[in-house]
Amino acid sequence: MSVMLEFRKVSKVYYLRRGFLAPKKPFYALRNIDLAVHENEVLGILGESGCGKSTLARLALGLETPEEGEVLLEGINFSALSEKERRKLRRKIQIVFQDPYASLNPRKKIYDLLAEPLIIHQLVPKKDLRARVGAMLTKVGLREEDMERYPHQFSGGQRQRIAIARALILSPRVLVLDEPTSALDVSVQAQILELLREFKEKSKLTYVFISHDLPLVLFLSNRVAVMYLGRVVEISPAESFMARPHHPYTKMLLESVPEPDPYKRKLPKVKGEPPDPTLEFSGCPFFPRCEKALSSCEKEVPGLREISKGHLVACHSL
Amino acid sequence: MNILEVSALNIFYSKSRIPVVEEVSFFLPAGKTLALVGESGCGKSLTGLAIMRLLPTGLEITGGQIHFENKNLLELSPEEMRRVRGGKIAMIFQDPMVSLNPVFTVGTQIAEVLELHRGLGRQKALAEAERLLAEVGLPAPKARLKAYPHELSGGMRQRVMIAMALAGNPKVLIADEPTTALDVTIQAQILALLASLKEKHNLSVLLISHDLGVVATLADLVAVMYAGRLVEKAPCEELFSKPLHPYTRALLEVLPRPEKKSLKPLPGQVPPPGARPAGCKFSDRCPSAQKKCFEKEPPWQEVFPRHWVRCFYVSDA
Repeated sequence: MSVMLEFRKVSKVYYLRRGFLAPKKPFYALRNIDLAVHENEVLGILGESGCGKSTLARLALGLETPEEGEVLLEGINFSALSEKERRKLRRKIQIVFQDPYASLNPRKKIYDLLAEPLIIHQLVPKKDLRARVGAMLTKVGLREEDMERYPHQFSGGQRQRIAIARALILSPRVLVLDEPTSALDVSVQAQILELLREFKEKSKLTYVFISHDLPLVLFLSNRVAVMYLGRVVEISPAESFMARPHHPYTKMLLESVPEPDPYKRKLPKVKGEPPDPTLEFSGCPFFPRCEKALSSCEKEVPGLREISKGHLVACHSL
Repeated sequence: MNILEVSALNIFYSKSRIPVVEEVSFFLPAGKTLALVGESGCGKSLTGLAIMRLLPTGLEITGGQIHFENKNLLELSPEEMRRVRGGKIAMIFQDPMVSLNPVFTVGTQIAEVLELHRGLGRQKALAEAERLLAEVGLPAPKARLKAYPHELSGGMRQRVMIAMALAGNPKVLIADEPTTALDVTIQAQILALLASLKEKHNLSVLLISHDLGVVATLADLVAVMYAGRLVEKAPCEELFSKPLHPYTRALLEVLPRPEKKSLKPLPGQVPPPGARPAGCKFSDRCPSAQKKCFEKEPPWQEVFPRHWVRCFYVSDA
């Protein structure tokens, strides 16, 4: 199993100004991320807002450059490349965003939206473009004639199919899915999930599936990485995730998800809120909310340790 | 005893006369939580707003009754309705950033409710506001009185909204997607808060949600809406264990679960008002639709005690 995409000690800093005259403060969106995505797997990235999961996606696509560390796609470092080479490499990794109302240019026909990547990367002779776009549309469950229409003529679910078609038309190796169903109703979400699942079964695509929704991530993924405040706190195979989550934050997440079953009703005691990410602190990011915190948690950041095969946890109390 | 009774509520677009919500009838028993569930565009939020008589312009109530304390809310004068709204019936919304006024402090906004509905003076009102903020679990309530909404996190803002709703000593709380904008760990806190406040104040709650997990956590009764209609209503446990309407069953089947290998998605999507099929509104997506379903709308009937369904072919699942 070869590594498709790799993050090596990656940190990403943004500088934020809080108020008109206030000095800019560094804000670590990602801190020291070590993560490998293997060929042909679905890696789920689970986390709440502000945990850095979308920044991770932007770095994976080479849309942002990390301040520290490197991001490698099939062993090639994005930041070491020229803009031209970077663009070429990007063909191999594509993304589907959350909001299909914002990610499709409303003034372009579906044909133009789907043909543009092919033209930019000069993959298909001009005379074959229409056939290629038509074939892609049928693959995602739309009709060939839909290429003559505009995005506003489609529903949210159909637009997300178009976004998936646009990503897949370049035959990428890795598909990053950043909350691809969060804007959709459950019945439409199921259609998109099934489409993604079927594509996965048929091809050797690698997925990075980013979501805040735990059951959703576990449904689609082989492995799950849990993020909290810019760090990966746990990586686990999806099968054993429910049975033995080890990080206290992962446990909190699992307890918090309400079960769609009145016989399993629970009202857990959940402590605190995530702290302001611009504040500097030296210890474990979860320390202020953690039930199991030790004195060392306040001073020292725990690193990821393998506690059983393929299961890594960043916690001092284990 | 029912505290709120909605019968045959109809909501139409004023101009085009296109029906949006039709023939919605339900009772909210005192001290219970009734959940209105459905996907976007099914009319659940409009039903909540209609009870408060807060429908957006362009929509109007064209029929039905909403009984609360032996009065039809639809017949109250605007002045009488103002006293009910925010007083005996309070409402909280999905996005507390939009529902709180950004230019007033939290304390001022809660005090306003107390002055209006309970006739308190400013000083007493502020003291009571502080007590309410403490009750909803906001840390450092005294200092927070002077905070503006943008200085608070999403979870804290929702706590402020809940404090404001409690300020009028309500009997009924309408909670429209109260945790949808929140992260899951914060959602768990707000759900626990709502559950404990409901017990403490003997509130009757109309919970509007698309999230079956949230519904299963809080509701005593569940009513499922589809395309502007109620399609099924039952006690919570029964609805989840014995769903009778094909749409309710589909909703449960399309939920992604870790143990599921695949999902059985429904084809198509919820039809918008004006494009709803003749006959049963679910007929175009229903896996078990028969000829009759496309021609006639099924009646709303009680097929088992307290279990209502709108379907010709109720199968005993």
